[in-house]
Amino acid sequence: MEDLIPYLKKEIIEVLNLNDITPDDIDEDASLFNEGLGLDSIDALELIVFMEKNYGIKLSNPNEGKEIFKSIRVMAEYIQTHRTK
Amino acid sequence: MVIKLSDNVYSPLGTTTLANYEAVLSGRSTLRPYTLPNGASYMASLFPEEQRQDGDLTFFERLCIASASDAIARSGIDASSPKVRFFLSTTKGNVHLLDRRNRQRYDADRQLLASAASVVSRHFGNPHPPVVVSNACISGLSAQIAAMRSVEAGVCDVAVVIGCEVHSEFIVSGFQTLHALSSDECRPFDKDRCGLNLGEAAATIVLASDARCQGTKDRRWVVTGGVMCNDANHISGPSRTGEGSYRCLQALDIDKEATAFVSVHGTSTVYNDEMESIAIDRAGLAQVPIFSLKGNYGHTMGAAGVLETILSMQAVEHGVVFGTRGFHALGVSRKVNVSERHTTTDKHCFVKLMSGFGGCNAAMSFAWEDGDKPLEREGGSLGLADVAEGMHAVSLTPDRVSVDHRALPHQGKGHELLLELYRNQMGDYPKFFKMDELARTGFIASELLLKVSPKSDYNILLFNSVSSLADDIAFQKTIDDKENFFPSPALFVYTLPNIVTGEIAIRNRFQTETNFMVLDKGETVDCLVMGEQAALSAQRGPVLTGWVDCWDKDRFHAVMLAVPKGTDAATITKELVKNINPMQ
Repeated sequence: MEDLIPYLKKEIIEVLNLNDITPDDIDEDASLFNEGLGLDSIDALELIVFMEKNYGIKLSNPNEGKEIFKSIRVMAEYIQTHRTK
Repeated sequence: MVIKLSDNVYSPLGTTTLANYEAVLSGRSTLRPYTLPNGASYMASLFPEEQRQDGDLTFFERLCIASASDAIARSGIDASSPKVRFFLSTTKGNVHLLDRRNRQRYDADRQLLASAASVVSRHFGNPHPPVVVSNACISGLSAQIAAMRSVEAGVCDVAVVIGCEVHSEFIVSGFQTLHALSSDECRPFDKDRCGLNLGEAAATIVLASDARCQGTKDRRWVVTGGVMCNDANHISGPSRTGEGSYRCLQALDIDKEATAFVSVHGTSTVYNDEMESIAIDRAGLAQVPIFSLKGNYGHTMGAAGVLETILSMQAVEHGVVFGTRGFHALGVSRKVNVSERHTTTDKHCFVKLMSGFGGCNAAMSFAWEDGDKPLEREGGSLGLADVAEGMHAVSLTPDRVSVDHRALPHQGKGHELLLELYRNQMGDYPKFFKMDELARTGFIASELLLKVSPKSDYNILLFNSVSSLADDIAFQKTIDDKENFFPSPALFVYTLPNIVTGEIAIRNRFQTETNFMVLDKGETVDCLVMGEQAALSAQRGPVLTGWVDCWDKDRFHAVMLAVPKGTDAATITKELVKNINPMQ
C-alpha cells in the first residue's frame, strides 16, 4: 500500500500531463478534483481507463469514480482490494 | 439574399431527400446494435457492409459525390464554373485510413480532410480549392453560414455545401470512452435517455444569390439568419446555463408567431438536452414545438447540420412538425414543448440549433417565402469602403517567434520553445499543460497577439492543412492493438481541430463566434480563401484569424492576425501572405 501511493502519484502526473507538478506537490489525502489538484471530467474518464488498463478494474458507471478518486490514498485502497492484475 | 436552389439527403434510410422525408414520416430508423473490440455494445445507423468498401475512391468520398451529384443535377448549375464554390462539412473525413488495415491503397495524405475534399470538388471540375469546415458537431451549420456569407458578399454566386460523416472504430471508440454512447435506441429529451447513437449520412444543400431566381413567383427557401457563439466554458462539456445556444437564439431575432418549430440538436445525452432546454426557455421559446431527428438517424456529426436543415425544410413544405422518435416523458428541467408525435403546422419559418465540442454553438433561421415577396433584407458586402487600419500579427515556428514582424529573443526550439514562451509570457494557466500541441501552438500565438492588440471580444476563425493529425495518430495507437484496446478520452477530445478555438475562447471569455476550416497547404491561393472568409467574419466584429498547423510536438507553424472590424479581404490576404510565405 505505501509503495502504491508514490507509484500512483508518478503515474497520474504522467497519464494526465500534469507537467508542472511533482509527486511531492501531491498530498495523498487531498482531493484530486476541484480545489485539490483541480482535475476535471475528462481527467476522471482518463483515470477510469487507467484503472482498467493497469489493474483490470472496470468502472462502467463514471459516477462510481467520484468516490474512488477522492484522493490518492482512497484510490490506492480501492486498487488493492479490487485489482485483477 | 441567399436562397436554396436544391438539396439531397443520402442516408441508410434513402438516397433522395423525398425518400428520407417519407422514412422519417413513417417513423423509421436504421439504428442497429454493434460491438467494439473491447466488448462494448453500441447502437448506430450505418450503411450496409457491402456498400462500405473503399475502391478507387474511399467510401466517404463516394458518399459525398453521390449526394452532391443529385443536388447539383436538381439545381441546374454548372459546378465547374468559377462562380461556384464547394464547402465540405465533416469532423473526421477519411480518418479510417489511419488504421493500418485500411491505409495501403492510397497516398499518405489521403487521410487529410482537404485531400478528400479536393477529390470531391475535382470530380465536378470545380477550379477553386474547397473549404473544409471542421467545427465539431456544429460543422454543418458553420459551413452553411460561411457559404451564406460568401454568396451575400459576392465571393461566389453559388455555394455547394456537402456534409458527410462515416464511422469507424476511431470515432466509435472515442465516444465510447467518453461514456457518451447508448447501447439502446436513443431517447432525446426523455427522462430515461442514456446517451447518443452515431449515424452515417451525406447531405448536400446548394445555396445561391436570389438574383438567379428573380422573376419567378414560386415559393423558395430563404436563409434568414445564421449565428455562432462560444460558451467559453469547457472544451467538451456544454454550458450549464446554455449560454452559447441562448446567445445564438437571441441574436437571431426570432418571430415566435411565424416559427413552426426549432429543430434542435437533441443528442440524447443527459447534459446536451438539459442545456438546450435551458437555452430555449431563456430565449422565450418554451412554447414553440421542438424535435430531434437523432432517433431516426443517430448523430451524423459533420452531416447533421445539413441533413437536419433539409429535412426540416421538407417538414415545413408538407405542413408537418416531426415527432421525436424515442421521446415519451419530459426529462429536462425546463418545460419545453417537445413534439412527441407528428403534428401539422401552417407556419413557414423554422430554426435549426446545434452545439459541439470546443464550446461552439450555432443557430440558423430559414423561411419559405413567396417568390414575388419584396426584398426586406439587405445583402452584405465585403466592406471595402471602410478598411480598418491597425492589424497585428504573430508568427511562430519551431525556431522563430515574431510579434508585429519583430523577432522575439528566445533560447529553446520546438516543443521547448512553447514551454519557454508559456513560462516567460504567461505562467499562470495550468490548463496549458493539458492541451495538445496544436492547441498549445494556437494558444501561445493568441496570447502573444492579444498582448499587443486592442482589447475586444474577438471572433476566432483559424485554418490549417492537417487538421488534428498528430492527435489522430496518437489516438489511433491506443486502439490499434485489439488485445490492448484502451482508447484515451483526453486524446479523443483533441482529435477535433476546433478545440484550439475553444481553448482561446475559454481563456479570454470570448462568447463570440468560433470556427475552424481546413485548406490544402497554406500557399498563396489558400491565403486568398482565408482572407475572404476572415473578412466575412470581420464584418461582424474583430477577428483573431490565421494558420495554425502542427505535425508533431516539434513541428508547428502558426501565423495569427488580430483583425479590426471591417477589414477587407485583400488587406487580410496581403498580411497573411507576408507572414506565411517566407517560412515555407
